Amino acid sequence: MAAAVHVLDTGTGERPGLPAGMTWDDDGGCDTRLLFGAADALAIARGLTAPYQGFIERCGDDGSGFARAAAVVRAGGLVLSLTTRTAYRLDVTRLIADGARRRFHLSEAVAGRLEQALGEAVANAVVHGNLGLSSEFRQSVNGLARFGQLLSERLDDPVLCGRRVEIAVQPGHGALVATVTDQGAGFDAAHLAQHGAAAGGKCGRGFVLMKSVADRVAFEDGGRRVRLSFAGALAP
Amino acid sequence: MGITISGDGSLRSFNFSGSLTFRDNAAFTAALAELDKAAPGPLTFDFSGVDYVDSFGIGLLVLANDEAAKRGLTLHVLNVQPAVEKLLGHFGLVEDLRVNRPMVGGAPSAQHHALEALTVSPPRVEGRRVVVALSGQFTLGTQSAFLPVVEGLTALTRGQTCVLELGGLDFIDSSGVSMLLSFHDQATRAGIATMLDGPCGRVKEMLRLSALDTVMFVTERG
Repeated sequence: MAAAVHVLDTGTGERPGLPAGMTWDDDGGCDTRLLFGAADALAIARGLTAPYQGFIERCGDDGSGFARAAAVVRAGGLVLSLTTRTAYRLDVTRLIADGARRRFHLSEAVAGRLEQALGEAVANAVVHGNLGLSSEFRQSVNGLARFGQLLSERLDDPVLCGRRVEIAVQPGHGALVATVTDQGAGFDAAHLAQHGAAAGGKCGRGFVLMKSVADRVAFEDGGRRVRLSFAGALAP
Repeated sequence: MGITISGDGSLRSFNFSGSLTFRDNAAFTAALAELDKAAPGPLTFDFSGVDYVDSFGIGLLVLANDEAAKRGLTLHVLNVQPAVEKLLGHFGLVEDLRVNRPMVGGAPSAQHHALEALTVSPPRVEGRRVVVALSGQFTLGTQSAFLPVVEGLTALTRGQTCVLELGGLDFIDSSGVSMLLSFHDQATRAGIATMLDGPCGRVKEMLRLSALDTVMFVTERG
């Protein structure tokens, strides 16, 4: 049986129930791997620095993301589970790319590719996934203003902004594998793959960019999860 | 991301810093509104402080280019860092956005206008040091003026130091940075030390952003 994954609660308040194989660790002992609490850049960066392997934002939900986070920890990876509001407000991509660079001894070039790909994936998860905003607005100044208005309204919606964005980076089959998962309605990934970005278009380049910096890009769970693979990224 | 608007009062020079991403919709929308106040002519986005752009940010730049054209403005995206320029090149936008391309028909400010050349002083020998002063703009278009300095390295001997005084340099782009790096590499192979003396303002910032100041020895004036 796998060893329990210990979680340190860095704040106060109600704790969600933990799934089997996880336990609260009130003194932050050497076995603690995940931090749980209110999210700010410092807390997230701490959670991504050894000996910790991730950070889970307190949000008053049922804690269903803990089991997924534990699986990433057991696989030796790094994981973030954040609300949409936090993923929008903070540059979490840079934080986890920095954490991955340290943990997996990535070269600057690989860390840069990881940051670029994760940046696109997190943007998609926040804007299109959890907030359900279309890029079609972004074709004109007026459309951009409308887009901004809707973005602001939806970030104030407690249901939408409380949806989670989960980011994991872990070794897998000799490659570095990053996944970004949202809780939105999903989308037709096959359609996306068949239609590239128009040369003068204002949107549609995110998927192209992910494909250009990652060795493999795959969508799962109806488009709610993107899996990015970086072959040869891990030191032998 | 931070955006400041400067220039000669015509609101035609926008200076960006930080990252340009999906988080910057509101700030960029506000900046675009300023285009209505600008008279037709060149418009510059100074990207010397921008170290990261995502696809959303690229879309914002394309939109700005279109909106500028509608108002009779010609957008030039200047001082773009190599990684960002590579990204824009990936999508074939270097030409469309006139990335790092000198302006034709007048720059947006007197400052730009006066500094379209690179001036290289004759070498000055100070003991084991050979000092060359650079002033003006160090860009793709002016870098040929620096070539005699690189070629002049052959006249130096192992153990000497070649000092480039940069106090009079007002602007350097990625081509200039690359040229300085080539100069340093060639000098190092010949056993000659290099030093960059007194960079200031945007030049100093560009040396920092390009990490050239971690490769070459840089001294600052008090």
